Amino acid sequence: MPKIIETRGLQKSFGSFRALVDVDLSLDAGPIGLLGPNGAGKSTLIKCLLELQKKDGGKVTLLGKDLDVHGRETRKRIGYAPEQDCHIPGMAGCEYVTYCAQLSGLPFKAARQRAHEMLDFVGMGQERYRKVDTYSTGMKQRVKIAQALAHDPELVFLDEPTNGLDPKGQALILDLIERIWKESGISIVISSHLLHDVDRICEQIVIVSQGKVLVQDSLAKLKSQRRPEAEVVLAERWDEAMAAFAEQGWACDRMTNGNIKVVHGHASLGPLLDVFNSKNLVPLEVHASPNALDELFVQALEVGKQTDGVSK
Amino acid sequence: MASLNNGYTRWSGESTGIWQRRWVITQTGLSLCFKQKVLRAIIFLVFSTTLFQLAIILFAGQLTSPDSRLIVFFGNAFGEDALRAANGMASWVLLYPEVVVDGLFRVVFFQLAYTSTFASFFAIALFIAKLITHDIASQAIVIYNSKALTRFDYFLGKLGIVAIILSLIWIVPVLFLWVVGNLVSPDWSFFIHSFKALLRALLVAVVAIVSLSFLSMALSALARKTSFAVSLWIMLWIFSGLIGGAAQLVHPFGGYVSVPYALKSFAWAVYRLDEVWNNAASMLPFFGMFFGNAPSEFPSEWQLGPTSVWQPLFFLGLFVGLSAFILNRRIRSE
Repeated sequence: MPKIIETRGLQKSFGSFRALVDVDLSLDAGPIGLLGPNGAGKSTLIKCLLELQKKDGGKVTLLGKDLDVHGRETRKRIGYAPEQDCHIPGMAGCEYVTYCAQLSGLPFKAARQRAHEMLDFVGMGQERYRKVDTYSTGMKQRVKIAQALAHDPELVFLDEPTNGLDPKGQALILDLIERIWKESGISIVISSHLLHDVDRICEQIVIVSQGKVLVQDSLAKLKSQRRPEAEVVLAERWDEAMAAFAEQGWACDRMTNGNIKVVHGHASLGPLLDVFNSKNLVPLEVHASPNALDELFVQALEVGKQTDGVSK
Repeated sequence: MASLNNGYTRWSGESTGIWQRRWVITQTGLSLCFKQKVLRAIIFLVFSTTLFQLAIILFAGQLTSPDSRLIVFFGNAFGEDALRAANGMASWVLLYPEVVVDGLFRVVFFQLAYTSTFASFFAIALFIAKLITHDIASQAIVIYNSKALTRFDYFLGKLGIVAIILSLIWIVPVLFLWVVGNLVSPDWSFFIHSFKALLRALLVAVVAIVSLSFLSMALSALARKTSFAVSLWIMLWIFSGLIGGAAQLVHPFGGYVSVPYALKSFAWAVYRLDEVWNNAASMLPFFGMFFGNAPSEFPSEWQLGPTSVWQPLFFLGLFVGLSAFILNRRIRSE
């Protein structure tokens, strides 16, 4: 399968601050989640891929084309919905989407027809005839998505598409994004600092922290990977339990909260539960370790918090 | 909120070329600008002035026709002396058309350049914020740059807006005046004798359009609010005039710091009205009787010789260069 996004040693700095550090990516077509805390470098990465910001170094290939050589023509096949408002003052929703489609190379009649089709697709009704300046946050997000799709691109970048929306609005936008890939086969890159945004839609995940790619893998693989550890909550007989784990050759330790952390070395909790049965121990709770996606995301968040602390 | 029932549809068709996409920017910008009634009124006023100048050319043309009803009317209305004067002028046109026609068109076009400079100032103040200021303030510039366009394409599209509006103020009236003015004259040789004056007018118009376009776009790119963009434009005219006036006291070139002064000087140097006067005074009989003798000393602007074209042109070029530098820095999504 051809790669839709490939980067080698992508770098971007703002003064002494390194926003992207040797980013290497190789992503297949499909829905892709770009995860990371605020300030991790997600938006900068997208902007460098779209040449909205000039990269300091590295090589970018989008849809099989070298961006340095075919930048403008490649962007004809790409859609982008930025995080912030970006409408043109004084234009109605349908005028704005038509205009954006024309800028991407559609003749006027086709652009106008596509604009209405895409506004239908994103669920905009008669409000499309109102000026964009008067729209609510949710409507603005929809119009942004409509303009990104109006020229029928092969790849769409959506930067924080659920930002500023209430839970219902978030769910609607996520439904919409899910439909883009399922109904059209258009690859999507969603940037978000919220795990659940990408968890339900994306097939590939890229976690970014401090301008570096922490991980790049399929969602299924990341979710299936977890450390062979468990946290056991007991009301009594802790010593017996620890002795039973030691008999199995499993490393274990009492945690500060009184629970026992045991490294059982198995993909499932089955062998651990067998030990409880054989020793007639009744645990109150058994927590498997979080999957790799959760752990890496938490790790990225922790790094982000530390960086915030240092910068403050 | 509407339900999401409509499915995604694909589009397959031929994409438009890059010039078409640039033209879309220009076309959309023009329609936004021309929504303003005042801008339409300014252009109407420029054309009204042109009609007045057309009447002067029409009158001059009628002088070459001995049985012209206009001349007869002129005589009846203003008396025998006026009729004799008109007949005298008719002999000038008939004997020295190359001097009279060229001189007449140069004077008329020069006057039009003054009107156009004044109209450009007000027109640009009306639409300057719509050029780039609004795109930077609303971050719409990000959308332009994310499409199949480069910063240069965006610049060309926006330049088209100013250039077309200024052409309506500078070039279209000149062409209208030349074509219609010659069509209403009874002698086709007017076309030939006025051609050099047309070239002078087009040169002044092109230089004015290029310099004013770049300047207005640069100021538009510097501002983030409509009021600030308009203020910058007004300040450029007023303060550069004041600074230019003071600087001229220090050095003769100091005046060129002022954009309107540089434009005005360029127009003086191109139209060479002193040359028009001297030619008329030396070749046309009784010219001095009608218009008085040539001034012993022409105003300073009249002293500008052919080489003086380069001085204001150099400073206008500097303004364009500075504007291009600002535009290069400001038309970014970063």
